[in-house]
Amino acid sequence: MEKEIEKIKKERDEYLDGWKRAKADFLNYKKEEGERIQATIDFSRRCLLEKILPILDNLARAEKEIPEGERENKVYKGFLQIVFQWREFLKNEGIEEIETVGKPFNPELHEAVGEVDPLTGSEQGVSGMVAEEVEKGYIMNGALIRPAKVKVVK
Amino acid sequence: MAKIVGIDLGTTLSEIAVMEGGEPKIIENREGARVTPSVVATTKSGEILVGVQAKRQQITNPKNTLFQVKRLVGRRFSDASVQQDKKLLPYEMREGEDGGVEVKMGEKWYKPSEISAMVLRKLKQDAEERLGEKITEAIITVPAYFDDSQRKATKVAGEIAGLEVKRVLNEPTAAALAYGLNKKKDERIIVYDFGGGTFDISILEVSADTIEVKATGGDTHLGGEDFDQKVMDWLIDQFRKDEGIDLSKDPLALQRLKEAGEKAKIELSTSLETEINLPFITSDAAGPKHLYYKLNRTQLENLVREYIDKSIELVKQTLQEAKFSPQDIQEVVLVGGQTRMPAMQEAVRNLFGKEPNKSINPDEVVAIGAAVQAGIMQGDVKDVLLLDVTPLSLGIETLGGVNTVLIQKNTTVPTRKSQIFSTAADSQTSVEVHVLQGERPMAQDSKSLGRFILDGIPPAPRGMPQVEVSFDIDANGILSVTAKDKASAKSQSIRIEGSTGISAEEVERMKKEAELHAQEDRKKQELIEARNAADAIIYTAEKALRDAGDKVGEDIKKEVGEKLEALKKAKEGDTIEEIKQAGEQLSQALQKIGAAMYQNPPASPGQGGPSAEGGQEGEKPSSNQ
Repeated sequence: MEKEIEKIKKERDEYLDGWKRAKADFLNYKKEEGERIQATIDFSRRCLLEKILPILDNLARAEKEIPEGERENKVYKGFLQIVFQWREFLKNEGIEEIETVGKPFNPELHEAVGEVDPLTGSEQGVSGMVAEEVEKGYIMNGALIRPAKVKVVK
Repeated sequence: MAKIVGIDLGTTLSEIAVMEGGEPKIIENREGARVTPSVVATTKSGEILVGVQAKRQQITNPKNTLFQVKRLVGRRFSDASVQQDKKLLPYEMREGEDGGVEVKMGEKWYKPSEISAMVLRKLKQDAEERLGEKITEAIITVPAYFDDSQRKATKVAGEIAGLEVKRVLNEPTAAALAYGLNKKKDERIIVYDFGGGTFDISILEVSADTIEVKATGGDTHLGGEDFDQKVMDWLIDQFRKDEGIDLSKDPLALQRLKEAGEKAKIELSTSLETEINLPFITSDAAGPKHLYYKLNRTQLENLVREYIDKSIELVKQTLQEAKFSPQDIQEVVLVGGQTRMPAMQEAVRNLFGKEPNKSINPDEVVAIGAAVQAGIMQGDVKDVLLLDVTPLSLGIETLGGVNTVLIQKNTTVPTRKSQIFSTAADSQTSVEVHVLQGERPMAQDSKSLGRFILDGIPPAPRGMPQVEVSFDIDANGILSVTAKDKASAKSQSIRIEGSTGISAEEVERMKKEAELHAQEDRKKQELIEARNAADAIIYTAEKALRDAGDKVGEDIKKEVGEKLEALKKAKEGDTIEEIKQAGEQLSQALQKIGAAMYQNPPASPGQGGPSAEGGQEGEKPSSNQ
């Protein structure tokens, strides 16, 4: 009989403990829910941005190809205005471009895609500095969306 | 009690997972990614980088960036595979005093397990940050073909990283655990693991309480990256033919081609055609050149056919060595991102004549399985703790014979849901609560569980009384339904036992029927909804006519009256469109009454304004007058 009571008591404690744990798990889950929702919103924004950015990269590539002296051409001017509009949009959404050329290479923000020989007499003569930006990188609210692709001084 | 984590320490990528609330979950790293590259580097300033940061600086620091170290862990320097890898890997390696391998990073020589430990430490620290608690114990997975020395070296790596390694688990076993296949006694399982750079085949046998590896095979230098290379080569070839320019000589163009190739490959797993659009890919004297090609699934399959065929050949070979035929295998598990490719799935399906297990993310399934093993060891995964779910939806019948669901199917019990309902007619003093079970939208097609009447509701216009109906299912599946009138506080309830106790066959039948009738049911429901909407307009119109008295001209009253009859007639029919149209015409006519009433304001305030029935259409002032 006593043994039985002992066993039942033990079981009761186990169940009570399990119940408390489940309840605590749930309360904690609820507390974290807000964060989770925010994280989901941020994540979906990032996903969309990651798909938009390559299009913007191509606009930047096109911009680079406009011959010097032709920038006043009306069609080119209109095109440049569209590029400008895109950059403003990103800025207004709290998305910042990562600084590259002339900054020390930082793997937290930069991804090296190549190296260049040092050019004497300039900032770009210092080994480990970013010499050229190949593709823009972006941060949103302090978090990295995409690192900038750069070439680094040897 | 601190949690035991599960770690998939991969050749190119690693993941860490943990059991949370009885479910395995991948833990994101500091950078917010679910995977961490197994890459370690020392910078010129002597700083050690691990993961994606090490990978980002690889090109500027190839001699001091260590990757694919898993190929060397626990091996002897004289091993043929080490000698082969030595030619492919850009960093320096030498024979250690114990005959093992040592790799050079910065000015120092390390054992491969020390490098793996750095990856493990990052995973551990990042996970501690996420979970907000210390992690001291782990289960680490290794390929099934790893020998004792390789397993020991992996364990040592864990210990260096400050983890007590509770078990070194086989990767295929982990994948089988993730799918719960450990419960399938006396079955044989094949795990087809096509990763980024390695292809592993394992045949497992499940016995009373162990999963035994019966055979292994594969190719340590075949993987998804070979597929990317094929797409890239195809693009280069096409461009050479069309433009006469060799893009393989241009490192920046190659970088873009590699990314675009992988992206196209991934997209073709879900769509039949994709485009590779790379403007300004290069330029010559004539100006900029653009690359634009379409690639379809069949073309991709033809490009990589040799690799898929090779993998199937290797599976056959492994089966043969273990003296099994494809018919001896009961379960097939797919692991590795490349197995998302439909042609690969089909090749495996054709060989074994059965559908492979592929519902869990193939990149994460090994880490998930390791966490499941950790859960079993910790006692998190106990069948007795499993909570039941309601197999079918529960609801009540509402106006027009509609099954209004309160508790959706697959809701975990115990649970409680309530909703406010009202009356359908003026001065209605009782409501009937008819409890239904099933997935069909109409009450007549659902299973009736019981019914009761709540009476004594004080007379009021339709829609005014508030009747709260609550469903409560306890842990034993006993359903209590209560209806309570908010005004009089009168309530009535019913207790239904065994609402979840329907036989499995019956549940299946009801679900199937719901699918089968989905379309006609939706039509029926739309018709009921249209009729209910028509009822509301008719009610409003009749009330408006009564209230209008002589403030509204006879012609308007006559028009409304005619439209009202037309709607009543349409409502009897079965044509949704007709009901909607007649309803719309009546609403428009009603607006004229509203406008007329505002032009002839009533003598006393309060009359003719929005009544207690609240914002009925037609009583709103018209804006187009």
